[in-house]
Amino acid sequence: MQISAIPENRPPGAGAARRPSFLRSITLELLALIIFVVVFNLLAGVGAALDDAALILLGLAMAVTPALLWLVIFYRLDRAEPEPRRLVAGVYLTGLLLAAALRVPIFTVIFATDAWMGVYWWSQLLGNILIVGMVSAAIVYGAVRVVVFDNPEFDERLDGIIYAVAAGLGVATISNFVYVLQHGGVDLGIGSIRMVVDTLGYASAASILGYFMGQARFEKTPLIYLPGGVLLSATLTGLYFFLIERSGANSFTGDVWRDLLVGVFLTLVIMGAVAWLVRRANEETARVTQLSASGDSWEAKPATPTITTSNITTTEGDAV
Amino acid sequence: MTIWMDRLIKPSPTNEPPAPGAQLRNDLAVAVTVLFALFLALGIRSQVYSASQVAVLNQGALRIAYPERWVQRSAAESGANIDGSTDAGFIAVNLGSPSTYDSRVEVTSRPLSPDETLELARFERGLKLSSEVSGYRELEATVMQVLNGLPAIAATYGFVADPTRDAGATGLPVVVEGQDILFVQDGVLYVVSLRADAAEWGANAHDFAVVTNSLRLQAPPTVAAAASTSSGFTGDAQLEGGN
Repeated sequence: MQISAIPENRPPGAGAARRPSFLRSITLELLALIIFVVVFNLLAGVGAALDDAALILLGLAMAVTPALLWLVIFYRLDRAEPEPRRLVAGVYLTGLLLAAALRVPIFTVIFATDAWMGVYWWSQLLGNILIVGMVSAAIVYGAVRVVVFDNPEFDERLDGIIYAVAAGLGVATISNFVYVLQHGGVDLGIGSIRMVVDTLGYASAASILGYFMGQARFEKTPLIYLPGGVLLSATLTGLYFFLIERSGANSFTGDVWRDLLVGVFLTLVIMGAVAWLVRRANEETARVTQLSASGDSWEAKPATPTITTSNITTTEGDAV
Repeated sequence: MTIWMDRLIKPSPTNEPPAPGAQLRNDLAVAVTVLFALFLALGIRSQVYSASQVAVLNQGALRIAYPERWVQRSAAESGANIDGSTDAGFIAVNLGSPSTYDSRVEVTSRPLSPDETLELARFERGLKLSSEVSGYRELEATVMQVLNGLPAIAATYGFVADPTRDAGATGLPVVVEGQDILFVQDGVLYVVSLRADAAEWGANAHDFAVVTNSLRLQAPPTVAAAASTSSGFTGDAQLEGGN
């Protein structure tokens, strides 16, 4: 999927014209989600006229909408080198099915998170990181690894982010399903905000893990690299939901719009960081490719001061 | 910091994909990380469940632990029905209970009357509760022991409470499940009551275990326990029922 990165097998600079689209797609996605929230808040009065079954059906449809919006927008912006739809859908559905299979057994049966996580601030923070974040990261990793990681279509670093976000959206969809079913339907106003906030949290944290997976797909990485990515993604997921829950906004205080603002802000920060990392990684790839194409050795055009070891010279800070 | 960022962006100098064996190694490392995190979470959950504070009652005659997050309340605040003759009136409630009826532990004590036995005291307790609360029904009574082998009786019962009406609001009444642990120490009868919304009774098991563990509540070495819901006193080995 080509959004902003330079493909691994293209000459450097070939993808430069399409580079800005990553952040543009995020911005467009956020706008679409805000419109989704506004529309359902304007229609909030309609919910009162619906019976329980209709509310549940409407809630389930709402639960899927943010994820589909995200996927469609990413896909439309990926005109140059689109990923096969079946792969993106396959990763999304695998994430969804894994979350559906694991969420209740892990959250409810093994950990009974409702009974203790919210007791202290530290239990809420650590519980969100170690259980909510870790399980989510494991599902994302598993879905991408099983469905697409070894597929030739996974041909650039940015694909890791695209597929990981798709898997994260599957997790978010199940989270929204559970919310709807537990509440016997959903309030159109509050529910739509809650679903968007959850979707942003899972998707943005998954993008971090996707970055690490994209790197690991094309480079030999240290042993702690991917576990570090899982840990970072889980930590961001936990922090995200901790901040949302601790900001005091919930369905009882009626201040759910603050949740949305916090969610949008955190998503922009995380996605901005991911976009920067991808750009830097692609610049590094381009530099190395350029050196190789010109027949130069690594020593020929160092980008930064170099450290020379026994037989390899690399940029400062790289381990040899 | 620069080194960390460089490693994040450019994890290796080779720019070549990992071998299948290396990828398997990565998978194992990720699996170990996730399992370790979940194992750590189990420890944190256990830490939360076991966190407790201790109440000292009757000038140190009885020390009882209750969950740290529970709040000590006066009888008036909690709306509890406590015997007016109590000395060690102690109530702690879980304000975070999902039910409108907060889970709680109540401790009362009074001197044991001459010729009064533990069984008679328990009988009187049942009569008193049946007149004070709505829909009282005893479910089970078991001979136990507490502290250093003191005989005790654990009586389980249910009744209907109306906490929202008591608070001036409208809401459905709540079926409350309770367990009284009665025992005599130094001539003083102690009644430790554990109560919760019956629908939440199981969810409160960890919290109640903090209390019962501090009392070292356990079955007696010889199986002398008996349960009865029938009325009438039938002997020492069997406990009389409630209402």
